[in-house]
Amino acid sequence: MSHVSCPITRRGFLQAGLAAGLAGPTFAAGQKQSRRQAAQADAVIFVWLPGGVAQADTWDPKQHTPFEKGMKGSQLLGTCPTIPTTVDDLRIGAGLEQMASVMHHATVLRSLTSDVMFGAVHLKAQYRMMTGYLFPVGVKAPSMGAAVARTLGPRHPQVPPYIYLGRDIDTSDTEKQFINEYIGPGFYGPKFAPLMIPDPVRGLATLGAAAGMTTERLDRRLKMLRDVNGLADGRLRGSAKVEDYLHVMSQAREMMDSPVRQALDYTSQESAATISAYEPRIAAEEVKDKKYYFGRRFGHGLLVARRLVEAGARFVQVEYQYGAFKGFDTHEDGSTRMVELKKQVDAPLAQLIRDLDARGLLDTTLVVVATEFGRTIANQPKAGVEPIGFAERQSGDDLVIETEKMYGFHGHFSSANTLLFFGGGFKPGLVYGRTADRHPMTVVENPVSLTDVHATIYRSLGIAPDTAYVTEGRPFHVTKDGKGKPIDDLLA
Amino acid sequence: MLRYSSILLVLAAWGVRAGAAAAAEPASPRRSGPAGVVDSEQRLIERRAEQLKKLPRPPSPPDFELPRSTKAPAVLGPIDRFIYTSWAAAQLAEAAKPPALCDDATFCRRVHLDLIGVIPTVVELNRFLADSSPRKREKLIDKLLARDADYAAHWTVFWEDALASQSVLSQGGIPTRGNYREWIFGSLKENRPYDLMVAELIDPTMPRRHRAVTEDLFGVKYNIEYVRNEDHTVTLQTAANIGQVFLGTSMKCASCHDHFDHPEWTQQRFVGFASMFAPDDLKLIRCDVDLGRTVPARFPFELPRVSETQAIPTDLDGRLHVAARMITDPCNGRFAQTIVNRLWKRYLGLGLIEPVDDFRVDRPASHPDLLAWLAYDFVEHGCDLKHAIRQILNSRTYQHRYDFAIEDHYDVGADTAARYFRSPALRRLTAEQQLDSLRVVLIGKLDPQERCYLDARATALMRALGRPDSRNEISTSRPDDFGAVSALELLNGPELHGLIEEATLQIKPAVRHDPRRLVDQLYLAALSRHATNDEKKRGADWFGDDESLDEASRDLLWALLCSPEFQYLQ
Repeated sequence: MSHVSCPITRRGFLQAGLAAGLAGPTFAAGQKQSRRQAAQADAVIFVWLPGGVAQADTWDPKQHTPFEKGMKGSQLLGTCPTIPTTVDDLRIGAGLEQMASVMHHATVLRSLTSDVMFGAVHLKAQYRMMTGYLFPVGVKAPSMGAAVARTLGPRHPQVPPYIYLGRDIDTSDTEKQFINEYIGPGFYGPKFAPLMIPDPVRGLATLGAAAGMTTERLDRRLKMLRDVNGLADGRLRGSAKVEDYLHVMSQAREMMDSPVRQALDYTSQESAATISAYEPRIAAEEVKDKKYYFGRRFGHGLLVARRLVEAGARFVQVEYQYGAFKGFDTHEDGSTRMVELKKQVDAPLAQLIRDLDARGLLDTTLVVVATEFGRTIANQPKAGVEPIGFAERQSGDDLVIETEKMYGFHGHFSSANTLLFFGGGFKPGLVYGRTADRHPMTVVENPVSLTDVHATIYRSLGIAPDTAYVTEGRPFHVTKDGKGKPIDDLLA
Repeated sequence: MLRYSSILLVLAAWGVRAGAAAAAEPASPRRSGPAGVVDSEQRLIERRAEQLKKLPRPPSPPDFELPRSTKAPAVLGPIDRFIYTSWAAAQLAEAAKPPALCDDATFCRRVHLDLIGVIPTVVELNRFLADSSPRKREKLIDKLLARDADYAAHWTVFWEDALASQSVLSQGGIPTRGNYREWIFGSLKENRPYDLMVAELIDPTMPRRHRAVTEDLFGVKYNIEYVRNEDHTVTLQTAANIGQVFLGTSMKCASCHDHFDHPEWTQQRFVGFASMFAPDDLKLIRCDVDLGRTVPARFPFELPRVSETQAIPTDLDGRLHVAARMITDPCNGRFAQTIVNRLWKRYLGLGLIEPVDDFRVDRPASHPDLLAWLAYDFVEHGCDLKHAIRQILNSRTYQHRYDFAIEDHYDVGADTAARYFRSPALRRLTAEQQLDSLRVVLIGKLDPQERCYLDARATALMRALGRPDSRNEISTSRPDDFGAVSALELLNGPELHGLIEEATLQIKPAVRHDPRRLVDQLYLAALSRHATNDEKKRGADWFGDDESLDEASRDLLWALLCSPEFQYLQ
């Protein structure tokens, strides 16, 4: 298994790009134009549900087999009933009634499979979903948001091209530091770092004057800064780096009054009905794990994402915050926890799609709903006992289910994962790929690789899969080794 | 969120606080190693000297006469003679009229940031400015190099990045490369010969062989090998890291195919190198396809003067021993050239070879003779990092005034542009340099235990200043560009704002009624120089009545800390 770049067959093509001194995409300007014409979407809302969403409880349900003490794992196929959707023959898990009503906009990809068995390691799978590469790569791989931001640039000069909603800025442990790394710009550097908005409900402190400050005082400081620099030695002032630095400082100031701030001011600009439509259908007191409840953060994050796209954002990622064994990282009791989680995301997600559709934005905005890997249903003994490749071979025949906890046990499953796409030139109402109806429920039709999924997302944006940027003297591509091939069948 | 435990901005009280101003413990005498160890290390040292004899001496520094009008120090050192001669060859005006040196205050700040990673205190600055000795710059360089703990602390950041040092055993369930911090700090504090340091990482037969002692989440300690070879992939990564960090050669791209952009590097050549770090010869796997053959261990560079080239042992320890010997051998010119080139880049802003991680035959050094001379001089002096640093910092070339008009640039897309080093290239301070310097500005001193590099977090402010979120990949450089998201953090982030607002301002009555003096003192504290008359005049306009004095002082302080003059090292 390779871990670093593979050869680019278009050697001459790329070398021409390097020789021309393109730090940017490796295609020449003329080619860039023609490639861009293929673009459907000019903005992305990437809904990121890390933890491993149980596909069988959501987008790829199987036959519902209610709990019976002593049942075999192989008899247990689905832990939730299924419901019909607005697409004929497409059924999804109960609890997603709102989503069922918008599925005619969706492309359901049920056959994302992985040649890498991630076993117990979420972060490796998340890293790969975010960057397209398998950790460790040997360089700091940039995330998809950074690659889109760098390749397409901002849509609006005062709106950062990559904005990240719903994740705490917290570096108190190494796991969180790791996550910050792979949602970040990697070797692209700080110019392509995401603007982090941890909680849209609270807004963003840095867009208003800091605590105890007024905008007047802030502007006085900036005037002082300009004066200080203006009086500094001309040999320093004339530096392009210094000019860029001060320019970026002014940009930041302008950003404070920018459409981003307006977008965050949704409470005064959206109707109560709209805001409420984006809220989870579960109250704090109903949640079992009181310590892991983020209230309206995710739902309002989607609303703000829509407003940011309207304001000119390029790539907005909205996370339902990951925590080990929290949120979508269901193990024991997975089926009951999924009931709660569906209440958290069903209404806001559906409302986002309805909203984008009503505003005519769905053609030019791609919404992706993704998680790092799928989940098994009760074919593993318990959490932590998930040897690599184990789940992929299990029939469940050896497992006797004695308790409801075990009935709802959802282990990690690298072999099948479901992703949803809305708009952006994806084929609406399409269900692509199929997983087996019996354990181990691996992909049996049209398997696709993550590299090709990335290429398809990039195609929707008009970005060639072999777009590359140079680091340490070599090109580094936006899809793994530049080899991604868009899956034409997914695109209209 | 970054918070300093106590912040005290003392204005006009520097003299009184002189005792607290020294930023670190005084130099301690060099310790000798444990008994028995010295002898076997001695063998490597002797070998270094013997091998060096086999090498032809590098070109001597050419003769170059400065015009008589040049101000002191008008004596050119060896480095300058290489550099200045290249100006004459390129018919640059500076050959006849050398660029000015930076002034004393700038030098003092530059050399503090470069050697100990933090700006001088006002006391240190004033002491230097008051020194009338003609050799005071040289003395200051020696004095700072002798502050061994501060010197080591500053370098630790670089080597932690380069070795991907991590304080924990695994990160998100993925094994790390281990915690090298104490070893790096200790080795640099002791000024261990560089070749011994590298050998200690690789060669299991070294008496002070180092394994990273790393804790898991429960505090249980483990030893982690620097050379990891538990599977094909990590072995290749180890080899690629060694190639990049210690041999300045980017080989990664050749790990699963012939290097796309680098015809020197066939996959065969790289995998042969990687086999030196594995118990068995590695398979040739081309882009996931096993080609069904193995590649014998082979050093990737021809080293006719090195006897080990002929017979690579078949056992792992033997291989690692030989690998370390060949990597560090004086006859393997890349080893010394890579590190002196890194030093050059660190202090001049750009390498003699760029990129510093990617030496290639088609990318000659800007000054090949100088690079060869520096490398030879480094080895001849026992691979003594401080010696090489002293050589560079005592040169006129290092001490030139910064001037954007004649500074060099490196662009990946136009890597043939000449580099002359008439001015250092402007360098952005690292997050650690900035935050440690901020302490000196706001508190007047830096407690060695409170240096930024010891802080395990990467707060929003640290990241805005370029600290990586995580060291899960090796890196030999920090980004020196700046984005709007980072700017927002400086402009309005709660961390920097809090640090400035929480600082205790002690403005003496005499200064309170003399805004020009107040401005001057703020400049001195933040920028290590007196304000000019224009600056005092303009600054005084910002100060109104007594009530707003405190606020205006903090605002000016913010402006000074966010000014390019603070953010960049010139």
